[in-house]
Amino acid sequence: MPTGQSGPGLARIEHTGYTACRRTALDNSAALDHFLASVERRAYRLALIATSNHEDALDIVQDAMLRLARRYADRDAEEWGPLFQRITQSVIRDWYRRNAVRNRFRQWLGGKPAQDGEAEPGEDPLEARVASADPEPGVQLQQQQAMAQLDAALHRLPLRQQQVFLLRQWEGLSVRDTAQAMGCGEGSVKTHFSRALKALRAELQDYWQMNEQQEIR
Amino acid sequence: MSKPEHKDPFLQQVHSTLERSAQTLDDATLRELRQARYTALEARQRRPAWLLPMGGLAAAATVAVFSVSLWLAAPQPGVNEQLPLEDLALLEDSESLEFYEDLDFYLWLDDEQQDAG
Repeated sequence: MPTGQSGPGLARIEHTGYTACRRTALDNSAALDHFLASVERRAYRLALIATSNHEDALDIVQDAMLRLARRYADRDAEEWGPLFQRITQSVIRDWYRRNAVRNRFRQWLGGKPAQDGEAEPGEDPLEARVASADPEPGVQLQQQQAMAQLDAALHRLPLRQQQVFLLRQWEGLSVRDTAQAMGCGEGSVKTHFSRALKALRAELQDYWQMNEQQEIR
Repeated sequence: MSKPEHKDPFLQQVHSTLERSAQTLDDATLRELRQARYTALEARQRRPAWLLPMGGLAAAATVAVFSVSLWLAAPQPGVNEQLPLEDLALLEDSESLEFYEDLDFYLWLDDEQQDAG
């Protein structure tokens, strides 16, 4: 009865196993690269709305990507989406806590707390916005204004309302998935979403309708 | 993740505005995001596969060392067992606490009175 394999046969099996592992690892890396590329823009915008700071938003995305790649890259690709959302929310919450402590220290030391998203004196907030590929400068300007209005209104919402609204409304997460990503109950998600929507409607609806009417004229 | 379909014009506008904002990021930001992605992928590749179970082993070893330390550091029966209760009794009564804080003064006063007597 054969008890095992040795010599060139075993070496060939080991080599084949190594090659298969290597190929799997490369496939996995390519899949992860593809996944991250598909979520990076939205993740950046989500973080930017939360922080109103380009560098902080990039740091948050970088941190979330690193955590996903280091800890969960070997999970099924289907799990990456919910995991990445949960990690991003966790990193944003950490940023908020750190920022709150930093501001308390600034106030304690007699300085002025940092105002997120505060424009430099004389700086037009629209200048910082991106030039889109739209050929019509008028349309482009209106789109940029709509974006700026929405960003500002979203930024004024409490963090939980803001992120619940974005995850439900933009990312299309279900109430259950949003609750998991945010680490809160489903009832809480519904309440936050409803309040956010009410606040945004009150702030934006008239402005946007007015713009639409101007467009029609 | 399924993309939401909105019948509400307001929500439609919010969604399209957010979509547009993500699709019109400037080149510098896109470069930085790409760099962040590469950094994450490299960090993942730098970790050898054999290290994966090592994380679990390290965590188990830490828990074991912590448990043994707690067990060894536990007070022996009969030694100092009353101290925490005494402390609690002290803290319960604010007047007693003040008395204990000024104990040196009362001892000195007592000595003085005895000397005078």
